[in-house]
Amino acid sequence: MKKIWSVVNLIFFSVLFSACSPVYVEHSIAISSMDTFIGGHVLTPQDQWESTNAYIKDMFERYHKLTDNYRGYDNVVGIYYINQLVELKKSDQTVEIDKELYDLLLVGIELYDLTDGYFDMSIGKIVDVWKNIIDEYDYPGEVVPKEVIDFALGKVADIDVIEDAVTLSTAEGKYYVTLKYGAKIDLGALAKGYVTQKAANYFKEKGFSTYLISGGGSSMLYGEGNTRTEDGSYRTGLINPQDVIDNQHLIGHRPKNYGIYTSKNYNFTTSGSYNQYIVSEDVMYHHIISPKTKRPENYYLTLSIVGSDAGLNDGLSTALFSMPPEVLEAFIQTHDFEVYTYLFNDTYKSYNQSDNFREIT
Amino acid sequence: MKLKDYVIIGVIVLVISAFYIWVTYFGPESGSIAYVYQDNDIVIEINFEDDSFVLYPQSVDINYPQQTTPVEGEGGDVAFIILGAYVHDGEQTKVYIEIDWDKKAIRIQKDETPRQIGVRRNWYDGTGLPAISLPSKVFIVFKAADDDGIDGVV
Repeated sequence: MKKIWSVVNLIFFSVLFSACSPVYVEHSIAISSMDTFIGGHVLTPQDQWESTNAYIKDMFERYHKLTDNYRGYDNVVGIYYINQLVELKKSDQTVEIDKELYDLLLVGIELYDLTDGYFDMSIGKIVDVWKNIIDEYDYPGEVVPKEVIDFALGKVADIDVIEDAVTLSTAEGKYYVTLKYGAKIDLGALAKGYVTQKAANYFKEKGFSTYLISGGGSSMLYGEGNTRTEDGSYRTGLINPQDVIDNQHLIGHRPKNYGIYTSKNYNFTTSGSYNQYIVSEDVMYHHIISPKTKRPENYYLTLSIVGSDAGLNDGLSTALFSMPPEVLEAFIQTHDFEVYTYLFNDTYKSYNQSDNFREIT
Repeated sequence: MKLKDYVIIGVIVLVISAFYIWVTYFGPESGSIAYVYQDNDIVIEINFEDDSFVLYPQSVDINYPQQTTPVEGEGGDVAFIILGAYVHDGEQTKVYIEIDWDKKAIRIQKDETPRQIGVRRNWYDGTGLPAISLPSKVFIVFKAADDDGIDGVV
């Protein structure tokens, strides 16, 4: 009996001492902000979750107000304010902004330079024309009259793409943006990924290395220590967009994946046309607008990029989606990004494919 | 240790193991749980394994969600009204949510938003883009299925 008492004591003290180190508990991330839903989970000590959750939610809300294109907010000098000011004054305007917005716009300018203008956050007026038309229709793939497309093409023909429309400057510790007249800033292709990455950075700073963040269905951001895999890696399914298009009328159809990517501490972002589009004369018109042609281009059904920065990937996937294949190939050769495109012939093409990718046949 | 001691330890281990196996393999399946969010809060939790739901009072008005009658003949088995973020005539507007136990699907049956994007999405079972009503800040999210070996899709 003495020995069994010793065993029970051993178990008791093991449990007691284990309580001295923080117990990490999985918490759900659920944030509605920036016109989308940010979901996922993160492992944190129980007593730190409330403050962490509040910090992340506040951060998303703050950036939402700074980047909202459709509404202004009291005491917030954000994108809406800057765009409105330029339109009202009908001239180039320089506005003092917070460092948060300055840093975000700086990434936008870097992407503009990096992609030779294929990422252009100043074509908001052109994006609005197409977005308004696509939003008029109820279902993806709805067939619309040619006149609708001609109307859009006519409108965007009257809008100039202005070179270097956004410039930044600093003076005496203050931050400024200058927006040229005729341009309109739209951060829809950058802000969500940028802030999601900031949320992940915050987790890492706090020592919370196990997390999964889903940014609106097009971006997955992972840490390490996944409890569902032996080595703690995370697995991303790459949706077959053709399968979605072919079966979009079926309730309950679970789209096939054409590949699985497995790794730790990475972001996978996809830009695709298959969820929001209309059709006219057998041509898809979707929401990703090429700054070069001022219209949606159909080189790929989806384009996915792997990397460590969700903000950069958000902007890059949008920019690369509008690149013709030969331009994309040259760009990737120069910059060494790992990219997966799904093509209209129901096959995929990868660039710099790593061993982390496994094809599903 | 005597045989009796081994038996006691064995029984303890057996009980703990049985409990672990039960929780792991016989608890509710992931993918069968869905959440309706209003803004940042879960307001309805739905379990399609046992056709049950839990309502969480909304912070803006604890009288919501309210249970109501589903539209007849359209598949809904149970319906709720929640308060959305969309404001009309100075008041937050109602959003009608329906659940179909057979299809394991949820829909925004009715709201007062101008574009009706969430309503037009109709029945949603967790596949494809999330069912959302941005003006109402209502989001329907299914817990990802564990058995497909995937943590997320893009």
